[in-house]
Amino acid sequence: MNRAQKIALYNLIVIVVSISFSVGAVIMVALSTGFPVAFAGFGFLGLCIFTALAPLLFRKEKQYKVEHDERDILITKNSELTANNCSNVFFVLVSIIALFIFGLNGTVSVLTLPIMVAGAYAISGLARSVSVLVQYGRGGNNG
Amino acid sequence: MGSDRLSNQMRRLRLDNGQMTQQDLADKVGVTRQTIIAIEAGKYAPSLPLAFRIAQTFGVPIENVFQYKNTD
Repeated sequence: MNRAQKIALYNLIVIVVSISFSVGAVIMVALSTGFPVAFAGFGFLGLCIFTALAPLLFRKEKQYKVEHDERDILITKNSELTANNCSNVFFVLVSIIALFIFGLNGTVSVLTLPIMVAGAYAISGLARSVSVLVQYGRGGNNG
Repeated sequence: MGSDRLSNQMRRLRLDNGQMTQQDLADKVGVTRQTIIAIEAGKYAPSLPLAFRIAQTFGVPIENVFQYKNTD
């Protein structure tokens, strides 16, 4: 595995754990207390902040002359496009779902906005990590 | 990223050139070993400059390294 794959796998694990904790917390609080208190469970999405540690945890491999070549740039570009598209789709879906849930004359809590942003960040990070791992995985036996 | 119509003789040329390793070839042409592995496996189609650098490293025309099958 190269550095980009390690970072992608680490980010994937962190984001999946974060989303799992969030959904679990929301369900548990909703069953005991109900909404809107249950939305506080989405605070676990803040665990995604640990993805910022990835560049520090996985240092550059100095033993090789070339660390980032044309194939790595292409994979990075494709994964960024995938992540951007997924976050856009997420925003559109959440907006449409909110319209159906709350109706034309409904209102949403201000808390909904940071939750949407955090959710979009988690979804785009998830998509980026999966895209990186899949594209590198297609390259055959990796060193 | 790969191409079903593109094949190559890189592995044979590497071995014919003093049993060159994938890492040696990667260092000579300025890419990572993973990229050389992907090219040899047909999973990645190199850019034109990279393809020419690979051919120049082996000292053969580019057609001797990469073959394109036109099925039309």
